[in-house]
Amino acid sequence: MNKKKNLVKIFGFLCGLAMILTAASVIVRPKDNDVYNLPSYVRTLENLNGEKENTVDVLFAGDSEASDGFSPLQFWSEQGISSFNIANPAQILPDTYALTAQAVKNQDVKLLVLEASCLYLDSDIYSKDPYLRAAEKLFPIVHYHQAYRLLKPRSVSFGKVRKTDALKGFWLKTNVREWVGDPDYMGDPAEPAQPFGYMAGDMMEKLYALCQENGIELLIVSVPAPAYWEYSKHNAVNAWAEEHGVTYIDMNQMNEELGMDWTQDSADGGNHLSFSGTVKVNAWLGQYIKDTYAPADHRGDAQYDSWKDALEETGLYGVNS
Amino acid sequence: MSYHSVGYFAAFLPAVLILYTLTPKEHRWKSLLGASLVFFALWSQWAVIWVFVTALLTWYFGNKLAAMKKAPKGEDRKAFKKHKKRIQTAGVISVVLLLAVLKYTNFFGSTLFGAGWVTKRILVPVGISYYTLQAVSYMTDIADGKYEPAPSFWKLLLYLCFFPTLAEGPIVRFPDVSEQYFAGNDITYVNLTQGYQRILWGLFKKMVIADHLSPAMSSLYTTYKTIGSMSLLAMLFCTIQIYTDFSGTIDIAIGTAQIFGIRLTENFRQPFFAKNAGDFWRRWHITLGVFLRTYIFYPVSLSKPVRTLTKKIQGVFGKKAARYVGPMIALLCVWLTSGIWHGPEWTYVGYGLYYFAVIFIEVLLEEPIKKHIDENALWFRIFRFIKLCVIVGIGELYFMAPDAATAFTMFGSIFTNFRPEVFINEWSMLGPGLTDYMLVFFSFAIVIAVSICKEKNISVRAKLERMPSAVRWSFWYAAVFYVLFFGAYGPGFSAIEMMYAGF
Repeated sequence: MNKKKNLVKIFGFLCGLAMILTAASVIVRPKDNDVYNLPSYVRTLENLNGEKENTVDVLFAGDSEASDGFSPLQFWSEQGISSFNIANPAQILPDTYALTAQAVKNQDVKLLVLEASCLYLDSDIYSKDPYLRAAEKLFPIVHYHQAYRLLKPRSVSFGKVRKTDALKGFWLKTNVREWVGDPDYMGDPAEPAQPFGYMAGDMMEKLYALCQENGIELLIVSVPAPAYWEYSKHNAVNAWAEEHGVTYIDMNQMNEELGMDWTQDSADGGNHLSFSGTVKVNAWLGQYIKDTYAPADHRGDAQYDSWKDALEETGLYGVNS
Repeated sequence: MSYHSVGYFAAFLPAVLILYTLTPKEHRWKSLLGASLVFFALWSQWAVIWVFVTALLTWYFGNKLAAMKKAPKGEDRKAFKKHKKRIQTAGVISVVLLLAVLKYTNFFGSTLFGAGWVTKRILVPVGISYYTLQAVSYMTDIADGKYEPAPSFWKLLLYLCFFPTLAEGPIVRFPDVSEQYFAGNDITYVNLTQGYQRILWGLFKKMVIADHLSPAMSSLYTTYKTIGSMSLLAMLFCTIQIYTDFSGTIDIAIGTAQIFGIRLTENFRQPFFAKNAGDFWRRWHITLGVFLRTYIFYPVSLSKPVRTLTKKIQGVFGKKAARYVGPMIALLCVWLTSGIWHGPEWTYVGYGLYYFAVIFIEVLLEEPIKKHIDENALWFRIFRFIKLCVIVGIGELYFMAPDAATAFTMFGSIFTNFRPEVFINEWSMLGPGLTDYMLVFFSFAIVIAVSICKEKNISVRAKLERMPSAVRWSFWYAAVFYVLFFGAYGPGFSAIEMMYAGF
């Protein structure tokens, strides 16, 4: 009798626990798309949602190469392009997809610029450990428990907040570390293509389809990264781009044209651009976007004051908006 | 498979529980042995073979020694004892040699022939340092006639590789656990719930506190090693991290064993309430301390050469000085063994010598302090606590350092390049964010509060058990949720292994 009662107690406790975990899962799980890194997804979305509706024409996406590389304020300052950078360090394609899918709900995005290095990250949002993976799928709170990192005293909101990031998603780096190496760092152009990261190919198809559905042009770019980028990757990205009729620009092949000086233009010995490196890269890319896709110059339009104000607030690139 | 993985809780442990329950009582120890070997193989693959080798050697020498209880009639007792001692020594050397070959080949090779000396990668079985000590204690105790040998080879094998103790101990003696291992106790509601509660406490310490600090440690030991304020932070973090990681894993081991009705020896007893470094080591990694005291300290201090040396010193320097000779030689052996046991690195040897020096000074100062200072005075107790924290902090900073040079650079920076502004401006760039730090310090405050209660003989769990069931259930739901929600695991976190499993 006692044994039966104890078994009922254990079973009851476990059922109660399952109910609590299910309820918590419902609270933290994003509504539309599952993501890998919930805190950076939520913060980026909050910042993006802080922009007025239909004011963002261009989105920049990718991993740290993109978050450290593309500065929307420079594009505003030089070409009057209203853009936002939704990239984050180590951001994988499912998170980029989810952010883009959210962005198109409020914004009339015309161009998505994807930095290619994220294609070499595994695009699986769940853990590799099969047991943990099963637990994450059964109780999404296990997958999204990083939500606690959003519990800062200043903000607990998951929703749409009128608040934006002064740098529009750009991660400005002040450090400089020289890169020394072979100027032909990409190796042999005949290198066989290196396959994308796990599931990255599938996610690219999904992202491409999303762009097509929403009339967004997709532009794939590789920012100069002498310690990281090579022809095996270039060839794989190029093949994908050609197959899908998408433009791919590898700026690693344009070091001279861009005037890259690797004593100053790398933040960390060739992996990421320093601020001076981003200035050179963005100057060229902004002009290219302007010439090729002809986005409107919104400087002087009060609807777009968010960019003007941010530029004044940060004091970057001279205040010539 | 580590003790804090989902696979361990969701698959391995439930499978063992079901198997154990379905097995007839007299054969249940076989379920535990089977589970232990599977656990071993999951972790160390084919290196599981090495535990069989150690067990075979221990079984052979143990039985041989057990058969030599008394000198046969007519045989010279002295010669018999000498022969027995030789067999005991051969047994101990055989298992220690196996440990040395598997774990220390590269260390000794590079020490003797230079850093370029390399061997083929040797797959070291998990827990070899722990089960080798158990094998040594088994053979030594059998030789001393303290207990009967294991009734079968397989039971001895279970003693050496019981899965909860395999990776990090506690290091148990055969008579303390053998009856429990082989009794096939029923799984009771009390043991099951209390076992899981203890496991949860361990997971809380390991995953919510220790693993959150881990990302900061690599930056502190590399980027910030020349900044004194950051070195001080490293000292604090590594002390908290090692304590919560190791004691948390031990909690999981003890909790797992309790589910099967097995009470393992405690390995920690509120170490930061110790009076001095010597006392600290009687509260920290207790089972290693007991092993070293029983099998190194006493035999060395009572050995013939040491006694002879003591007499000689007494003749030259007097009784007072001679009093310290035996214990200090034994203490040096203890700490050298402890250092080298932790791993094939000179930093660990240095770590052992550091504690030898500290405890040696403490012993010398013991009498003058007792004579001139009221040890119960509040100021002295505060001073004693700070002194202990500094001693332990320095030890742990050195212990975790990749090499001695880094450790010395960090110590030096505290006095020569403190730069508090670096700490103020860059603490948030170490890896964990503000929320993580708040979480770690709040959680560690809970650990301290529970330790204070334990030190005052207040059982928090017993108090909780007297509460209404609604309160108890809410508490345990909250506790499980706390670990699941705030633990450092899964997406966004690197998997962090148990720190002491590498020793």
